Amino acid sequence: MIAIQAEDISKSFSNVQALTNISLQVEIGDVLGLLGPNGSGKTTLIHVFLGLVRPNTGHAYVLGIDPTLDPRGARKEISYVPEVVSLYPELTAIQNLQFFNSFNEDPCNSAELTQYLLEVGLDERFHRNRIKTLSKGMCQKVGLAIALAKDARVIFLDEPWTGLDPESAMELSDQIRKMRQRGRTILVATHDIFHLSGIAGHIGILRSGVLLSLVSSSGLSAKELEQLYLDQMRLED
Amino acid sequence: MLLPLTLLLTIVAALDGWQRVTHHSELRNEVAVIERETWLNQGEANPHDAAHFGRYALRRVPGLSAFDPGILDYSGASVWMEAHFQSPPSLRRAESRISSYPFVYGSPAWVLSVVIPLLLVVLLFGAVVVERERRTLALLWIHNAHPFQLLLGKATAALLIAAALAVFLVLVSCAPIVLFRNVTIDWVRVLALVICFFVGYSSISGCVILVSAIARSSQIAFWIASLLWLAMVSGPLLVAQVAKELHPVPRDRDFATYIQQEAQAPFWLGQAQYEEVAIYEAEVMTQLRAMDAQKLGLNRDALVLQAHERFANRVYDRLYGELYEIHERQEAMLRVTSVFSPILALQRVSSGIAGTDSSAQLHFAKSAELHRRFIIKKLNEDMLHNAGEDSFRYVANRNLWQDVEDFAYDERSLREILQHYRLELVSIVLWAILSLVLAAVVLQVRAKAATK
Amino acid sequence: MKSIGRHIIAYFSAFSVGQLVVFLAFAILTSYAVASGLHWKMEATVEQSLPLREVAESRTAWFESLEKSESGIEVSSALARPMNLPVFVHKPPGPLGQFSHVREDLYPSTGILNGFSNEALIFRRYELESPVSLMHGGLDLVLVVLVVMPLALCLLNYNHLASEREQGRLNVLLIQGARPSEILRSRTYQCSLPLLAILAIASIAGTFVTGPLDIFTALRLILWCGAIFVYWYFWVGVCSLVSAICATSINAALTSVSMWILVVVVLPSIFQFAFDRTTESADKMHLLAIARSAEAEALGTVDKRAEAIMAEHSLEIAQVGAEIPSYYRSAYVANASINDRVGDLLDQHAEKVRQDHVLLDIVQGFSPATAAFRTLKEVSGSGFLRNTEFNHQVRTFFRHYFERIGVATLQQRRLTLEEAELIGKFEYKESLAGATVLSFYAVVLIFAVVLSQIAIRWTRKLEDPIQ
Repeated sequence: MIAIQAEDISKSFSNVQALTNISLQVEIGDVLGLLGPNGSGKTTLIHVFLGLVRPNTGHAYVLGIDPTLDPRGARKEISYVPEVVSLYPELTAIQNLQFFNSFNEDPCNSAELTQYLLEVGLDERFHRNRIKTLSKGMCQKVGLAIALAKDARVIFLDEPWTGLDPESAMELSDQIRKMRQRGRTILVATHDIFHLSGIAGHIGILRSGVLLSLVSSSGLSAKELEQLYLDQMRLED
Repeated sequence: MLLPLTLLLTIVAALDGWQRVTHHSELRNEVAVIERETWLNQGEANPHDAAHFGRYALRRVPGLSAFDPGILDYSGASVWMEAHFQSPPSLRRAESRISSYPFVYGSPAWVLSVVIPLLLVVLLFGAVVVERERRTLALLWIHNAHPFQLLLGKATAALLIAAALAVFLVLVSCAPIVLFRNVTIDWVRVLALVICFFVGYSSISGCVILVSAIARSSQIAFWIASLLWLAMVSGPLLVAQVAKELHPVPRDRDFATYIQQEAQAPFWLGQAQYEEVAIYEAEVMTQLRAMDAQKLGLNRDALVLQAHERFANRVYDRLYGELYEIHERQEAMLRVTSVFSPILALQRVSSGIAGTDSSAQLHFAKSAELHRRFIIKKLNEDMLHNAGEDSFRYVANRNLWQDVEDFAYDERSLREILQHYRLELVSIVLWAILSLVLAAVVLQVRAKAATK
Repeated sequence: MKSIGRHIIAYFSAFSVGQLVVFLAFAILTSYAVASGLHWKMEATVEQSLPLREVAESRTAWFESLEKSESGIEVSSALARPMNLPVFVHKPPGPLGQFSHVREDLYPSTGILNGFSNEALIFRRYELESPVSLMHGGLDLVLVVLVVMPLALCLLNYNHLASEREQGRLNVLLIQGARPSEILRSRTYQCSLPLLAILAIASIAGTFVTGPLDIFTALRLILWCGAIFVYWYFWVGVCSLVSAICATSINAALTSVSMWILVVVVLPSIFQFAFDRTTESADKMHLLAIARSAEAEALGTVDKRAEAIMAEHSLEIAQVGAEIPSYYRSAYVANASINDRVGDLLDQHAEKVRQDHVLLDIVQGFSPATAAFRTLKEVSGSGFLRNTEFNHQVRTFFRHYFERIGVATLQQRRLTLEEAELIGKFEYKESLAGATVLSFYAVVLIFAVVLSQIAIRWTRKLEDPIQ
């Protein structure tokens, strides 16, 4: 069954063509990695699925719901971690999680929330620290915990490894793997080929708003994936 | 949105000011004519009756009060001039206003001195702090930009804005007067106003830039600058209130009692009359080089009446001196406050230049009192020399009434006014310099910290 | 109690230091405004009680002399003359006058009537207050509500949504299922309610401190708090709209300050300007000119002009003693003549003021701040309208008084005890302009609801994808 689907999506901002005729499908439980350089349209495409941007043409579907027509309905099924996780600096990690989780139809209790923070690898001694005292990586973990605690079926991650130290990046990859094992559908936009290679079921390569290829990544090593990516880039040049 | 709003407000205020001045000038002139006609046409009467019939000294409406009415509406527009009694200015226009909304005075000067500083707050609160939030400031320090260069750029922009606003808005404010030409204004004073507002805006801009340099975020800068503005605007209200409590004016009933007890009763009911009359009589005799008043046919009652004037005037000099001293003390507190508030300093100088400040009012009150004394003396002297034995039965006619000149007084010069407000002027300039220097120091410190 | 305390601490810990500073500054200003108002009310009451006592004593002496004279005991002919019967008229501080005391000194609140008064000069007094103090006025609760509260609300609420967007949290919040309208509403109320609470507490405390509450004052207090609530709600609507519409904080700051200037400064100024131009208020100067010519005419018609003038100076009269009657008659005739001329003018003026106020009631909705000001003044019992009402009541009483002493004065006799008692005393009757209050409540409440609804609808757009 299809969890994420794009049908011939195009989007332009003023004179800039951000997306051109994008079509793709992601099955339930799969992880799609979107690779592409800066400005290739990865974030715009995610925003279309999140119902934050209306495409000029084409349709997007999340579990069969068009987020353009029913943004609230689609968002019920979605979790999202932006590239830079912004939280309330005056609140603690657990308070932030509590606040963002309070909008869910069935909010978690504080024990569960603590568990989510632990699950993403945030040591318990930081749970009651104010966000402004935490590092960027720790904030990223809180952001991931917010997404996890929502318990949505589809998760969008925008450049999740950016700014993380190697250990945290590895932990994040493990986390994504676990989520996939739980049957979550995940779309990861990144240019970090190394981390993506181990977790993505399919890889899409975007460049200047055009989806150059969409391939299965099973059996591909990071090296092979990198070569594929570079070939695609050169081909276009 | 803010600029058009301010312009609209200035235009409305300018039209209002022009209308107000035109209306009040016409009314004043109309009343002056009626008052003069009533005086001249009172018919034959004893000069002392005429002295009780009295006259009004009417305050002139300065042309620049269209720009800055200052305290004009809250100060008496006339002084009642009658024998035996000195009166303070009375008939405040504010008492007759049907809907007097507080805080907003609706004059161009108010817009320029209160609203424009708020505009400057909004325009400049992000001057430095936004650069910091966008992290361009750190980049500038790393590329060896000098804090003074940055500040010079910001200050130049702010000063250009200040100059443009001062010139443009003062001219817009005076436009109706120029267009309709029914009120005269002194253009040198207009120029002085433009310069004062320019310097005032520079100092306010300096303060806002300083706040922007100190604050950690643009929101905090906005809050601090807005609260600073609010404190500068509401400060005078609070100080005026405290000044009134610390230096209370006497109650009007008490004042009337003092006058009765000190200026009237000792003379008419006590022993003071004999001595005072004797001294005055001796003076008159010396002036006339005569020995005996009765032989000269001088009227005794008139001698007594004028002796009382001399006696009472000394009491009035003291009583009113004390009253005006209290007013002065109240005002001194505001003067000190203006050192801490360039907005208040600007307001005070502006009303001074427009001739609508308290010192102009005091000048009017004192001139009116001098005129009262002159009128009463003239009437008493007429009775003294012409009443003979008829005393209060003696009547004078229109010729004498015509001899009593109408009240007129000279305005103070611009130089006198600027001297009077030198503390305010110095404080505005100091604010401008100090705030920019402090902002430079803060930036210097920040720059050093960032490049370490 | 402990848990309540913890909740309060938890509630306030949700605010930033800046917000707490704004609350604290607002609370200090409010407390100062109420404290100075209470001080003024106390002073004014004491100030009025002194002449009240003096006049009461001289009335007692006057009546004693009259009783003696009626019972055949010989008294000086200068005593118990009808023209000398003093009546003290005073306007006590308004029921909630402590909340709007600034510039009340502008209006006369006491006067002593006797036969030497005339309608032009009932409240003749020494105007001793410094014009500088009068102009600056001071800070009272009306000013806090009218000017400071809106500014504080603008400062606290201008960028609730813009800051979420700028900090990059808005998208996550939307995905989490938050509705921008909920965020806006909850933040706005969280930041605005403390201000309303401070004003309400100050109003209630400031009323109860003055003594036990009668039913009319209680009613006024309810109307007062209601008016504050309506105006507060209006500003919550304005701030919500600004916060909903503006995409960036700087834009929001500019817009909210613009709205403050528009509502608190520009609209009242335009309103005042338009009103001043369309309604011609009777200037005292003009009144003076009319009274002056009336006085000249009156003095021309009386036989003994000097007597008429001298009669006003009771000190001299008292010394003259025995030869009484014609002084009083001349003064009475002169004043009656002035009253005829000036009275008509004052009647016309009072009618004009009444009509102007009806017009103001109708159009005040164009400027919510003006409407709020008029309502707060009216409900508290202060300002120009109350002064006009006081003048009207005093003049009505004075006419009654002047007519009652007339026959006896012209006949150069004393009043009988019965006639004297029929004159009675003056007591100011409080009134409330219901139309002013109701039109404010209706119009500004509608504005408030409409603004809030527009804000909410606008925030719904944020949930939709951008084009």
